[in-house]
Amino acid sequence: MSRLNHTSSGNEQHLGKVGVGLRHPHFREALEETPRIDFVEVHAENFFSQGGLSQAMLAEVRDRYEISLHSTSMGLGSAQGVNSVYLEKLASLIGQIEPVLVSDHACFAWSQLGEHNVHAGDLLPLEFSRRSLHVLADNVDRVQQQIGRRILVENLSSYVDFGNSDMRETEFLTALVERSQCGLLVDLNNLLVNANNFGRSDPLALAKNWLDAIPAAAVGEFHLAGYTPVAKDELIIDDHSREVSSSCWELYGYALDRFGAVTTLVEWDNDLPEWQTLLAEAEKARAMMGQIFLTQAEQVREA
Amino acid sequence: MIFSLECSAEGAASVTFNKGLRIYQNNLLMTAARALSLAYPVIERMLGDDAMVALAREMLRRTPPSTGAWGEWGDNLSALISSTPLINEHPYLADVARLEWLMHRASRSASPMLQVGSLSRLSEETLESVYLRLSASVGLLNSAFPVDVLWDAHQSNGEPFCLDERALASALRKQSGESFLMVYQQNQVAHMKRIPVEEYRWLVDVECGLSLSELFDRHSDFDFIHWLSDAAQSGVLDSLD
Repeated sequence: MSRLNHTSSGNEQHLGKVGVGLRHPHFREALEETPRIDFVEVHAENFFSQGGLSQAMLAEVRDRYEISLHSTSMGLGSAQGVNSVYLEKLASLIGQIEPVLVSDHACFAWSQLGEHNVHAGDLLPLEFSRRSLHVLADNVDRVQQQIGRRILVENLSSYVDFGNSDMRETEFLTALVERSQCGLLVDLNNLLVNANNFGRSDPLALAKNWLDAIPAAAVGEFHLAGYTPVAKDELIIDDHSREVSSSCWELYGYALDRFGAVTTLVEWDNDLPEWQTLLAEAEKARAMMGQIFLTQAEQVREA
Repeated sequence: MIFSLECSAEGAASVTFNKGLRIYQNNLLMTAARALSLAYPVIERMLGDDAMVALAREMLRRTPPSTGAWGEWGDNLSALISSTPLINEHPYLADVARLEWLMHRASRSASPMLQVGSLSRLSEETLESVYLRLSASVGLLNSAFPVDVLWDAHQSNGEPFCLDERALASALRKQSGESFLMVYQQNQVAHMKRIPVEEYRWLVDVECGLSLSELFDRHSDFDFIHWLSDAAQSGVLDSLD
C-alpha cells in the first residue's frame, strides 16, 4: 500500500479547538455575529451543487470560520470502492474551501442492487474482520491519495451486529490507522449509544474501556452529542437531537484526560436549538478542556 | 435488506437484528421523504407528509439513490406521479413536479456568467456555424395547465403555509389554460417566468442545437435583438459558440 507524506495534516496545528456543527437554519446567525468558536463543521454532500445560494453561503462562512468538512456518504468500507464521481466532487469541494479537517465514517454505503449501483443513504456498519479491514484501508488510502491529505475516520453507532466479527472494534480501528495513516474521529456519543444498545453492563465503563484501547496518537477529533431517550429494551437511535448527555460529558472528561486537548465538535442535527444554545454547549466543552489542562499543568509543576 | 423496506431476517438472533434493521429501513424512508420534500415543497404542500412518504417508498423501489447526495435524487417524481391514481384526480400534479425539479436543478446549477467576448461572433459574415449556448440552469416547460399560478399560490415565504383559495381562483381566472415557462438562475436563486409561445419555441430550437442561421430561418418574426439583451442580462445566455 502506498504511503502519504503528511507534511501538514492540520491536526497538530489545531489541537484544542472547539467547534459546532453548522446547519442551514443557523447560517444567518453564524454570519452575523463575532465568532466565539474556532471552527464549524459542515456536511460535504450538502455542498455538492455547482452554484446557487448554498454555495454562496458556504463561501461567506468560509470567510468567517475555519471549516471542518464531514462527509456522510463516502462509504469507506464498501467492497466495491468509493464512487469516483463522488470522490471528484469531494476533492473539488476540498480545493474550494480548504477545510482544516476532512472526515467520514467506518461504514459502507455503495453496493449493487440488481444491475444498478446504489448508495444506501445511511451509514451501514461493518463486520470487524481482516477482510473488511483490507477493504476499508484500501479505500481510505485511495481517498487520501486523491485529495492529498490525511482524513479522520469516525467510529460508528450501529443498530445491528452481523456476528461475523473476529476483531474488536478498537483493534480494527487501530489496525486501520497503522495501515492507512489516517486519524480517528472518536465520537463519544456513538460509543455510549453502542454500549447502551449492545453492552451487558455499565455503558460508561464500556465506553471508557474502548477509549483505553485506542492509541492516543491516532485521535484527531472528538464528537459530542446527545440522543432521544428510549424505553427499556428499545434501541437508542443516534439522532443528535438533544443537548450533549451527562454521560457524554463525563466520558469527554475522561477522554481529555487520556488523549489531551483534542479538537472537539458539538453535533446537533435534529430538533435544532437556538444558535446561542449550541454555542453554550461548545463553551462548556472549552471550559472542560481548559480545566483539565490547568489541573494537569499543576500536577506537572508539583512533580 | 435495507431497500426492501418490509424485509426481515429469520433465525434465533433475528429479534434483535430485525429491530436494528427496521431502524435502518425507517431512516432510509424518512431521509428519502425529506429529500423529496426539500426538492418538491409545493408537491408536499399539495399532498401532505404521508403522501410524500408513500411516494418516497415507491421512488426508492424504482430508482434507489446512486450518487451519495440526496439533493441529486428524485428527478423522476413527475413520472412516478403520472403512474399513480393521483394523476386522475389531479392531472396538473405531474407538471407541477416537473416545474419543481427544474427549479431545484436551477438552484444547484453553476452560477451563470455571460462569456462577453463570445458575442463578437455575431459580427461574422455567416451565422451558419454560430450557436447560442444557454446557461446550465435554464429549463423549459410546456404544460396544459397554469402550473406557474399553482406554484405561486403554494409559496410560504417563510411563514406557516395557508392556501388562499380565493386568490388562487382569481389568479386561475386570469391565467387559465396552457402555460409556457422558463426556469433559470439569477443572483444565485432559481426563478421561473411565463414566456410567450414564440420565445418558448425559439428556446426549444436553441436547446436542440440549431445554428443562428437556422434559427433566423425558422423564427423570422422573432425579436432576436430584444431577446439577446434580456438573455444576456438575466443570465439565461452563457455564450455564443
